[in-house]
Amino acid sequence: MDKYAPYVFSAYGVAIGLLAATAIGVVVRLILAQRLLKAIEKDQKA
Amino acid sequence: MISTFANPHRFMKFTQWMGPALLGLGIVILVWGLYQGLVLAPADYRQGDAARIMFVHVPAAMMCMGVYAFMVLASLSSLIWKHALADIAAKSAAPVGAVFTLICLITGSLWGKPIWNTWWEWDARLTSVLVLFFIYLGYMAIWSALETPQKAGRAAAILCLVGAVNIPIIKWSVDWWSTLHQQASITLTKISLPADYIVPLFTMLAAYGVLFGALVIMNMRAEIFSRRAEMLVQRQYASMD
Amino acid sequence: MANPVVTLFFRELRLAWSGGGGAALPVGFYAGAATLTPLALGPAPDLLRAAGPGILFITLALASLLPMERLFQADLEDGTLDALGASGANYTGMALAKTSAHWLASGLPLSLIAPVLWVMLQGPGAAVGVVLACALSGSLAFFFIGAIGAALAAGVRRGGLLIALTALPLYAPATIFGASALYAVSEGRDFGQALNLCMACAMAAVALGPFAAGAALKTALD
Repeated sequence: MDKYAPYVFSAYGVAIGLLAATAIGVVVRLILAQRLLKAIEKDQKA
Repeated sequence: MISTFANPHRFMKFTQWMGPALLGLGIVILVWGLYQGLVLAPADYRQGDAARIMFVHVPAAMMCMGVYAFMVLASLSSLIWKHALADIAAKSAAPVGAVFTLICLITGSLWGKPIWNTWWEWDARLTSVLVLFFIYLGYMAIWSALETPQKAGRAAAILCLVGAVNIPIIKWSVDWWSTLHQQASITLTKISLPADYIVPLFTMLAAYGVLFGALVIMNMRAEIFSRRAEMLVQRQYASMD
Repeated sequence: MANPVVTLFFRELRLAWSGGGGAALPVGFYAGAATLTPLALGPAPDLLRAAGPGILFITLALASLLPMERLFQADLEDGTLDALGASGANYTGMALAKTSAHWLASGLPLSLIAPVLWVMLQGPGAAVGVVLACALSGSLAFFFIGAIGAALAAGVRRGGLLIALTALPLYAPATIFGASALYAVSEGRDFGQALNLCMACAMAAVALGPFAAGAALKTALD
């Protein structure tokens, strides 16, 4: 890597970081939504 | 194909494993693409290693337009054919598209600093991508502001189509504006793409595309779960009255 | 019985003019914001001449956004639009009538005051005709694009910011062409192309905006 290394790594870091944050956000949202639905279904059956 | 997915129950059954599977596949391709971009691809003879930023930047630029096109198709099928899932697909794609736009803007800025010697240049492409980012934000704001999902979905679909009509005009006007204010000091250095660059570029595009698919599917599933939960709660309230 | 859309148009116009100066408020905002410009930049004529055209056009865009929050919301809340919809008036017509009435009440005065502000910001006096044409076409584009945002946000309480967020990116072409024409005429260059393109933006907005706004109104009323 030449003198541009900090820019290259920051750019890759930003891309990976933003994608990872989005993926984590989506997965968490999915798990929470699924759990909430299950809890409500169980609650209403009881 | 579309009618298979238009049925929410069939969609839920079909996508149960598709989301995580695509996510895994996307991560594998992404790692391979990043390795190619950071290690295998040779440094450019003029831009040195800064040219490597292109591999995360250019596919993101393609994705931010592609995701919007996806949303336009989904909005059209929601308005015309009233597909139950089309609204949800468009809504779920928007934040992912906005993230790709943001990646495109930030990595572009990180490339501009060493090569153009400025973090931000009011270049035609940068400016129209920035406007596109604001269009994404407006679209998401409509979804979060309107209360019932039916109303929000129709309003958001209308805004999406209005944006689709406007994006070419905006793009063209910004190009016109930029040539008018052309500054001689800065020009885009053209990189002719050798095969060494095309392979990592398209690997990254494939990774972004597969990740987009995974995230949209999982986001749609989350949306369907929360709408069902909402519906159950409302039904319970109604029966209590 | 007159066409309900025509009736709506004249009712709007009457309300706008007799509504305690509500229609004049954007003009006050426009004049006030333009007056702040020399206070911020300093009174040097060269600087004002360089920055004035751009600032004049941005403040015009912002002043045009001001009436948008109330454009459809009041009539939506008190049921006027529901009644009109039930009587069979079409939504595109309603959007067209309301937006053009509001443009006549607020947008036209905004355009008329633009040449005055232009001269105050040290623009060449001979150009006032071009400035008026720019402001007329610019405010038309801003009002009819803004109306789409206004109709989308009609059902939202305090939707002003939502309107700004949805409409501002769409203001880009009209802003570019209008401000370019102002700069061209200020610097003695050929302004024709930019002015024509700004007028084209206005015509496209007037022709297409009411359809989108009407569709959004229909959604809000369902």
